[in-house]
Amino acid sequence: MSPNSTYAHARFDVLGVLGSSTSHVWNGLTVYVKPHCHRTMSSLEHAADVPAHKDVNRDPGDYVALNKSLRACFVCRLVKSEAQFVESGCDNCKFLDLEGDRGRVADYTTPNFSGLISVMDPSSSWATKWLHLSKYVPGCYTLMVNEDVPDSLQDILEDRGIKIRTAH
Amino acid sequence: MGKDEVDEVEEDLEDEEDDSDFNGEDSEYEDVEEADEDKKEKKVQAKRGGRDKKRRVAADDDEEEEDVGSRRKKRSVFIDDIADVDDDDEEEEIDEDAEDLIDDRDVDLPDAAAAPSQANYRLLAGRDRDREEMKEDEIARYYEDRFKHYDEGGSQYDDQGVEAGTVSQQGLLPTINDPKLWMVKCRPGHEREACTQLLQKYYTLHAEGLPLMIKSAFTLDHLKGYLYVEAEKEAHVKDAIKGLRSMFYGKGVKLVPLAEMVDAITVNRKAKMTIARDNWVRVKGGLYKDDLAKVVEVDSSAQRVTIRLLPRLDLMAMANRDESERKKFPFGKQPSVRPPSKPFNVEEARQLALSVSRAPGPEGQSYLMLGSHRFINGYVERTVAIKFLMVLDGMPPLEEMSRFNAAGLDPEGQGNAGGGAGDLSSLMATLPADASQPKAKFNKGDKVVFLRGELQNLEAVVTDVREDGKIMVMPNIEGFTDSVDCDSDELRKLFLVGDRVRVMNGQHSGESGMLIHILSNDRCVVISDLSREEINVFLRDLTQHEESDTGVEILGPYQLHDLVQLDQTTAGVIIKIEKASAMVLSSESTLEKPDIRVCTLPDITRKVLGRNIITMDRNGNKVQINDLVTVVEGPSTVKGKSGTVEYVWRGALFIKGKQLSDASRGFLCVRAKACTVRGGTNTAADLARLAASGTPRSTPQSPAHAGGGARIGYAPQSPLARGLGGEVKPPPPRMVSSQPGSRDGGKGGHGRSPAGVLVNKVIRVVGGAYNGYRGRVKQESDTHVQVEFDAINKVSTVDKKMVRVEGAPAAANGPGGGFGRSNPGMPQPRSGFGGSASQQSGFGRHNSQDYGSSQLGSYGTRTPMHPSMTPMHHFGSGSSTPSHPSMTPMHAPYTPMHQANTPMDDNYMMLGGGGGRPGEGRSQDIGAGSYMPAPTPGQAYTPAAFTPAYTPSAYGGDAAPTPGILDQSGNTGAAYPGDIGHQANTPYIPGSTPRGGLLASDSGSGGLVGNTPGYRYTPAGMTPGTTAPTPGIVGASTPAFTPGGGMPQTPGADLMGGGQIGDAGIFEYNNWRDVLVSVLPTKELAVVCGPGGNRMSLMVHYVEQGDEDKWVARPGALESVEGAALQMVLPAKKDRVRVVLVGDGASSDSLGKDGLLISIDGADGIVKFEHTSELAIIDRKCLGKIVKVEERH
Repeated sequence: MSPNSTYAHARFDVLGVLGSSTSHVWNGLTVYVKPHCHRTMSSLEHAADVPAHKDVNRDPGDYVALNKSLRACFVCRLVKSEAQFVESGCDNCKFLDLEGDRGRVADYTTPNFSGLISVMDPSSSWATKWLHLSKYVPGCYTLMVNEDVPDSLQDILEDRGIKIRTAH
Repeated sequence: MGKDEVDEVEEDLEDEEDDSDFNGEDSEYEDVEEADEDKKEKKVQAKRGGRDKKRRVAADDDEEEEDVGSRRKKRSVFIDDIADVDDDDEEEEIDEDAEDLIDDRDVDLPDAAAAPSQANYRLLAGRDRDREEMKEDEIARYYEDRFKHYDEGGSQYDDQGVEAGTVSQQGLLPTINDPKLWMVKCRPGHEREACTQLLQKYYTLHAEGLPLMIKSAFTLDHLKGYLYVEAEKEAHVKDAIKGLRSMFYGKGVKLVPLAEMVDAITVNRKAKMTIARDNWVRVKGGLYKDDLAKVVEVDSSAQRVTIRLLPRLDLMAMANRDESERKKFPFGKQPSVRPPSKPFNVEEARQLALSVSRAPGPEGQSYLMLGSHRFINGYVERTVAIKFLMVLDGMPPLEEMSRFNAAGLDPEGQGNAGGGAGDLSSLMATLPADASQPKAKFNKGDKVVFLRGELQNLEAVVTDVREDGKIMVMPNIEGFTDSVDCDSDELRKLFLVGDRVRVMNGQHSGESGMLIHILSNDRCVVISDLSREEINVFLRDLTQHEESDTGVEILGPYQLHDLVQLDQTTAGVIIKIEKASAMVLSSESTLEKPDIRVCTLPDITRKVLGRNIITMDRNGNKVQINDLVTVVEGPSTVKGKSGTVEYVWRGALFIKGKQLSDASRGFLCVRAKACTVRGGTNTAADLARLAASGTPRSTPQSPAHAGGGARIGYAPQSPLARGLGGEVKPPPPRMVSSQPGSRDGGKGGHGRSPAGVLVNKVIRVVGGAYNGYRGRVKQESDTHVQVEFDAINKVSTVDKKMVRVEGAPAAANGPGGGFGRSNPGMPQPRSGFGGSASQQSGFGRHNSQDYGSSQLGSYGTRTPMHPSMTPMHHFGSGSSTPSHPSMTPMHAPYTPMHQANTPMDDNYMMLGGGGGRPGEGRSQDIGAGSYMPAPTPGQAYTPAAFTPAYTPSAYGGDAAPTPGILDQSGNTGAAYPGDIGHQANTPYIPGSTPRGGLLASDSGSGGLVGNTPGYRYTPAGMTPGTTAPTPGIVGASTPAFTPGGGMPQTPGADLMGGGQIGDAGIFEYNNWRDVLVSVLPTKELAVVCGPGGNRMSLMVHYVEQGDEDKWVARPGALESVEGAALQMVLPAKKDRVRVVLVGDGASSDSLGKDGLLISIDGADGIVKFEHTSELAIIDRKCLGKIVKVEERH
C-alpha cells in the first residue's frame, strides 16, 4: 500500500460522488473542495465511505438505484453499496476480509435492514452511544439488521468471542 | 503452546508489523501535520477551524494516552506464556486473544503506528517478563483489571450478552448533557438519501476545514418524510440541512424532547420483517386481500417473496373475454364480484376452452400456465413484494389452514373443486414438521415432558418463562430443587384427559373447557365450557386452567350474563361473548323464537343495574330476581320448564335453568305472565275470584297508570308537607342510593329501573374534592354516581355518600346509624306534624320487595317518619335484605295484607305499580276481607305516625320511636302512634288529590281504617307473647332494624338469642338455609331448610343436638313456621355463621355471606368470611349459626 493511498482513497470517495472537481454546486450550495487537503482529512482517515455508486458519472440523485445496492455488515452494521464493500471491505470488521471477494460480501452483508444513521462524530454522539456504534468509524450504519447472522459467520464470530447485538 | 497458537502469534506479529509500517507513514504524516500546524497558526484562518484544530490536537493527545492502554492489550498475544503456568486460564486467554486480534487489526491501527514496531515489541516483551514475575494474586488482579476494562467498553465490539444489554442500555438513556435530537422534514421517500447526503456534506466540509457540527443523522424507514439530526444546537442542524435538495430548510427543525429520544431512534419491532420459507402470510390488498398464503421462496435482496395461494379465478369471465377487452385489459380486469377461492382445476379450464400449458417447475414438478398465471398443485403461485404481505404471528386458524392444505392434497388440481376441509389427520400430515412450525407458548404452571436430552420423558412443571424464550422448568424428581432452563422445543405440554384447559391461540382463543380426548399429532378434543361443543385444538395451544368458567367473559365494560339495554324499549342478557361482539338474548324474544342478537359495543347502551324490580306472574304473585318460576305457556319445548329468575325487565323475565340449555345458553326470556312462581300464594282460583269481584285490576306493568297514580299521590304532599314541616332531618346519605329519588315522584311510576334512581337528578356534593358543587347525575352504580357539574365543565365520579339530592334540607348527613336509638322520642312529634321536606324516598321503593311499589316507597319518604328511620334500612334496602320491609313505615300498613295473602298485596309489588295502587289495593283489600286497613293516600304520607304501631305487628316493628311507644312500652304496637299519625295526616287527606279522596271513600271506611292501622295489626302479626320486639320502646326493636346495632332489646327480648327472623321478612330464603333457630313459643331448636308455605314463613326442621356439635334431625319434624316465631340462636365462638340480617357491621353487601365466628367481643362477633378471608365485626344478632344436619340413622 502506498503511503498516500489511504487518503487518496478517501478523497476519491468524496470527490467521486461530487463529481471530482475543485468546486461543485451541490444542490444550490457551493462547496469548494480543495485539491490538497490532507491535513484536514486526517481525522477522518478512518471514516467509512459514504454509500454511493462508484460510477462518478452517475447522477448522485439517482438514489433508487443506490438504495437497491445498499448492504449492511452483519457485524458492525456499516452500510455501503455492494461495490464499495467489494472495493474497500468493511471499515470496522477487517477480519471479514470482504475486500475483493464478492462472495464473502454477499455472505456477510445483507440488504435486509431497516433504518439508516449517518454517524459523523461517533465519540460525542448520543445516538451512537445508544446504538453501540461509538467505537466504529464514522460512516453510514443501519439501525437494525432484519436477518439472522448466517451460520458460517456465526462460527467466525464465536471463534473471536464477538457477540452481536441483535436488538436493544 | 500448541503449534496452531504459535502460528497465530506469528501471524499476528506479522500483521502488526504490516500495520506498523503502514501506520508509521501515518505518524510521519502526523509529524508533518504538527509542523504544518505551527505555520498554520500564523495564518489567518477561520476561527472555527482553528478551534477545531486545537481540539483535535488535544484529542490526539488523548489518543496517545489511550495508546498506552491498547499497547498493554497487545501484550496479550504473548499471554500464552502465562497460560503455560496456569492451564485453567487458557480458555480466557484465547478469548482475550480474540479480542486483541480485533483490537490490533482494526481500531488500534493508528496506535500501533505511534511507536516503531521494534520498540513496541520490546516493550511488550518486557512487560511480559514483568508479568512472569507476578505473584498469583497479582495475576488475578491483573485479569480482573483487564476484564473490567472490557466491561467498560474497551473492546470495539460490546460483548454484552442479551441480559447485560438491557441493563447497560438503561445507563445509556439520554441526559441533558447529550446532544439533542432535531426532527427535520425531508422529501418523502428520500429519507435515506438525505441521510447519506448529510454524511457526504460532512465529509466534504470537513475536508475543507469547516466541518459541520452535527453528530449524526438518522431515519427510520417507516417514518416517511422525516429525518432526525443529532446536534448540540439548532443552528448546527440548520447549517447542515441548508442547501440540500432533499430536505426542507424552510420548514424549520423541531426539537425532540429528551423523553422521546429513545422512541425516536427505536425501530418498531413490528416493522422488522422476518419472513421465511413455509411461513404463513396474509395478503394485504388486492383481489386476494386477507387470503392465507404460504411462502415458497424468499428473495431478501429483492425484497420479494414467492407465495402460494388458493386461486380466485373467474374462469368464465376469462373464457368470455373478447378481443377488444383483451386489448384494453391485457392482464384481465379485476372482477367486480370477488370469485370464491378454490383450487385450480385444469379440467374446468379446459372445458371453457382456455388453453393451459405446462412449464417446468421446482422439484421435478411442472407449472400449469394459464395466461400469466402459474399454478402448481392447485395453488396459484405469485411473486410479490414483501410489503404486500403480512406475516402471521402463529398458526392460522385450523379451519382456514385445513382448507388451504386440502387443495394441496389433490394432485395436479384435479377435482376437489370444493376444497373442502380435509380431515384433520391428513391435514396434519401436510403440516411442516420442521422448525417453521410455531413453537408452543408455555406458561407458568404448565406441565411438560422433555422430548429429548438427558431428561427425556421426564415430567416437569414450568416455573418461569424468561424473556429470551428460555423456559425454566422444575423436573418432578424427588429432591430436585433447582429449576432447569431449556428451550421450548425441548418440551411438550403434558395434559391428561379430564384436565381443565384454556385455549390460548386460534379461533377458540380464550375458551376454556375440559380435555376429553387426546388424538395423535398434538391434537386433542376439548369440550368448551361455554358452548358445550367439542372443539378440535392443538395441544400446544392449551394451557392448564383450574377455574371453570365460561370462557371469554368481558366485552368492554360488560360481562357475560349482564343485563344490558339495547335501545329504549329493549334490553337483553349477554349470553355469549366473543372477541368483539356479544350475543344478547333480547327482551323481544318470544317463547317460540328467542331473539338473539349479535351486538358490538356500540350497540349496547348501558348495563341495567336493577336488582329489585318486581313483577307479577300469571297468578298475580310477585316475581323477583332469584325466584323460581315455571313456564306455563308456550310450545312444548319450553312449557313446563322452570328456572331461576335472573333479571326482570318490564314484565319480561330472564330465566336461567339447566333444563333450558339450548341455543340461548341456558337463558330464556319469557313474559312474566307466562310463568308461575314457585311457592306463590295466589292461585289461579284467587285470580278468578278477583276477576269475578269486578275489582278493576289494573295491569301493573302499565307505567302510565302507575305514573298517574304517583302523581296523585304526591301532589298533595310536597307543598303542604313542606309548609307544615318543621325541621326535618334529611335522610342519611345512604338513603340516597336506594332512593327512587323521585322528587316528582314520577320516576318509579314510569318503571325506571331502581338502579338509576338518581340518574338525571340534580344533586349537591357534600364532601370530598367537589364539596358544594351542584350537578346532575349522569350515571349511577351501587356505590358511586357520575355527576356532571354545573359550575365546572366536568363529569366526575362521586361517592354516593357525598351526594345529596338537591332540594333536600341542608342538614346533611343525619346521624348515621342511630336515629331510632339516639333520641327515640324526638323525631316523631316533629315529623308527625311536619311534612317532610325530604325528597328522599328512602324506604320504600326498593326494598319493598314485598310491597313493591316504588311509589309507595316514595310516599314513605316524604313522610316525616324518615328522620326517625335508621339508615340501615335504606342501606339494607338494596336488595333482598330481609329486614327491609319492616323499615318502611309505608309498608307497614300493607303488611297485614301479606300475611293475609290477599292477592292485593301483589299489586303493589309491581314495579311502577306504585302510585295508583294504593287505591286499588285498598278496595281489593277490603273486598278480600283483609283486616288490613287499606292504605289511603293519606296514610301514605303519614307513615310516621303509624310506623311504630305497625312495626311490631308486621315484621317486628320499625325503629321509629314514637313518644307514644315509649309510654306504652309494654304493649305491642300502639294505637296512639296511629293516633298521632292520624292527626297529623288528617289535614292532608282532604288536601290530597280528589282521587285520593275518592279512593278513600271508595274503600268505605278505608280512610279511617288506614289511619288507625295500629290497632289491628299488631296482634295479628305478632304471636302473642312472643312478640318480643316492640321497637318503639327502646327506639329500636330488633337488630335487624336498628343498624346502629347493639340496640337494647325490647323487654321480653330476653327471649331472643339472635335476631328475630320475623323482622327480616323471609324473602331471601337462601340466606336462611341451614340457620339454627329456635321456634318461639316452645323454643325448640330447628334448622331452616326451605321456603315456607307462604312468604312470611320458613320451613324448618326440628333438630336435636347430638354428639360433638352434630345436629340430628328429629324424624318427620318438618314444619312451616311463621318468620315472626323464629328466633336465631346466637352463634358462639368458632361457629360457622352467615350474615342474615342487616345490622351493625353487616351491610347488605355482606348479606348471605358465610364465615367463621372467630371471636366474640361483647355484642359483636368477629367474622372471617370464607371466600374473601376478610374480617368483619358484626353484631352477633345479625349472624345466623349454620349447622349441618345429619339424618338420624
